Amino acid sequence: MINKAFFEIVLVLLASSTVCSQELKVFLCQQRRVNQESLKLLNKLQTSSIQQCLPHRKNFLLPQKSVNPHQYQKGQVLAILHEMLQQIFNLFRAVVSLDGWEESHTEKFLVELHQQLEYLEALMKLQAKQKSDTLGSENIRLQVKMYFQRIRDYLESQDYSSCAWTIVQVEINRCLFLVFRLTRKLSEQGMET
Amino acid sequence: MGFSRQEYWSGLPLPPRGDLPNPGIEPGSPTLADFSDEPCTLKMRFRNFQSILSWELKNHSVVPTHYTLWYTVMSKPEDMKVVKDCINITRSFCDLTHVWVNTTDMYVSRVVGFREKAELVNCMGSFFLESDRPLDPPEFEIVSFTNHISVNVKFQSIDPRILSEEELQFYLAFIEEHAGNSVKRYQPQITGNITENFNYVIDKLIPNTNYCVSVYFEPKDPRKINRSPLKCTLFQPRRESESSESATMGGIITLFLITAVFISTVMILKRIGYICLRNDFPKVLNFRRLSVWVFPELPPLEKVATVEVIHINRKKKVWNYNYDDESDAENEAAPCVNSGGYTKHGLTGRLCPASTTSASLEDCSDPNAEEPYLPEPKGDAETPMAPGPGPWQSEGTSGGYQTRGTLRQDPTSEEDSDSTERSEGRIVFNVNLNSVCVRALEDDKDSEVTLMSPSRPEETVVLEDLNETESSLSVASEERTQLPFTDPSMECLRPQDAPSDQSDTSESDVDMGDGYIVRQVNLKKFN
Repeated sequence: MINKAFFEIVLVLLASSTVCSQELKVFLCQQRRVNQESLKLLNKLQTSSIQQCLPHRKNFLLPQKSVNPHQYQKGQVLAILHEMLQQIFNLFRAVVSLDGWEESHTEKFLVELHQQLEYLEALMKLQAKQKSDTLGSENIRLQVKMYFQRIRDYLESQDYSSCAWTIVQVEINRCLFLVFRLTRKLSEQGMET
Repeated sequence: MGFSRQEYWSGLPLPPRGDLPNPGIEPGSPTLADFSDEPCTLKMRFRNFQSILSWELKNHSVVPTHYTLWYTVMSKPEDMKVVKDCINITRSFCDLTHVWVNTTDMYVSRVVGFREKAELVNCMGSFFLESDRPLDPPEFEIVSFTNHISVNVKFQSIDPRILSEEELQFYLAFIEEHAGNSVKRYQPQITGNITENFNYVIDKLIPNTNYCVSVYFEPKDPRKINRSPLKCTLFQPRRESESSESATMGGIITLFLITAVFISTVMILKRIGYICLRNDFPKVLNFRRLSVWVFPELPPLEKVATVEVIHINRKKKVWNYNYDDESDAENEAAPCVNSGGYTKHGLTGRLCPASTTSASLEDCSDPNAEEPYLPEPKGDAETPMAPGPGPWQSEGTSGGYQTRGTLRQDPTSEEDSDSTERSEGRIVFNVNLNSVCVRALEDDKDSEVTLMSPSRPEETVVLEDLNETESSLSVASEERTQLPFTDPSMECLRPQDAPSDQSDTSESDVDMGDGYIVRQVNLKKFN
């Protein structure tokens, strides 16, 4: 005899998977918006400023190989994403208050980033209920933290000059597109699981 | 840097205006704004999934003959590298498909124009490939069918370094435009190999309208959409097909409903057992195949024995619990009554009218039989006969009263009944097994046929029972505490004939010999 609760269980599983996939889609869409806002910010940079800032370039050693989405499980990927976005948010908010950037666009960017972090935290709560596989993510979180610390140290060493901020902005843009790749992989994986 | 996000939104201090110029943004331009101090403009094109950087001089007065392209990345402090394929080229474009492969990097390019080894122009431009790739739209064809439009998109071979499959999936979008200024956009999911053609079906169309379809790749920067030219077709399905389609749909729906109703009716009938009732017996009950020879003779079910019934007619009074008078009457009437107050009744086979009912009785020689019984001894001595008084239920049933009633009627019935079966030597009449012990003639004297009957409060019959103990007596004792039982082994219960003044309960060793049914009455004293 099929258990009477079997159908309810199946319905709950289907609903939860639908909800999860919906949340991932929303997350992905929001990430696209974040990246678009970042690009808008970047588009304000001028060629001359870039040309001027070429000597100030620095290799921040973005852990690109570590951010390869193929080698992580869903929980770890969520942890990496959370760390990166949180760091970007902190960085922008701290620097924006110092520099005379145009507020509206930066605020827009920060608003989108904040929304993305909210979605991410909701996803992490969902993921925490299912399983806890964040043990291996501590290492990569540390790498991300060190990467952003290098960026902050560089800004400090350059006295938050505009060139330094340009360089950093380019770097953040690059980082965000890596995040977008991770998010896309996550949404594809999430729909499969 | 330990601020929380909530703190940030509580109040944002107004930052001092820096000295950074804020140039205007020109939409549709390359990544960076086009400045007047640059002698040329650099553009990035993506055609056939190839990245081509082209440049154009603003001032056409000075035209260099050769160009050399340099580039570097912003993420690393590297020197400018020269593109090997674009050294001293005369054309004003360069294919960077295989050079600028890292799409997340920002490339800074530098075009140096020479004329006879004299550097004339020096242009720089930076490009972020992830956003700066307005992909050329693929080629497609649309075909109009009866109820839908099929869009066939042809993909050329792509270099996966430029555009991977998953990236392409997020870049594809359609446009559907009505003739009446309404636009619908579809985003198909490309699952197969990107090199194959992709077919997309647009349905839910309004007939007799002109539909225009455009295909494009949507990059991350929505300003950079490069739309393909529209291809229009007139969607004009046939009228007959519509009507025939609706008719077929109606027919299919009707058929489906009829089938559903029929199936539900059949299921209901089957459920209630009106049709297809299962009629399969267990195999052991299937006697068709069983031949009669299996049972040549009937198995002995019962042990039939002949008994003698002796009728003793006695006048009986109404059982009104007035025990004082009855004892004398009983003692007087019963010929077999002992001095001790026991009443013995013997049943002879020749005798007669027993209980009132359906038994066919002979005339009793002794019309005063008090309680005629015809025992039906069972062959199995151990079987309790509690369900014995089945056929006598109506007459001599449980209560002693009722038995009395029968007894009173006995004389009348005896007189009336003339049927004699004496010739057969067999009498059939009903005996209240509640009140009798039976003993088969053939059996040993020691063996007994015990009757077990549900205990009645007033029926406490102590009988000579040698071996068996019955629980019914104990039950009766519970009910009637005033009735001590001398021998718990006595089981037969009968209506209490004993008067109340009799206090003794003693067994009587009544054994009248052959063929007599012994009944011992436990006379009690009731006060």
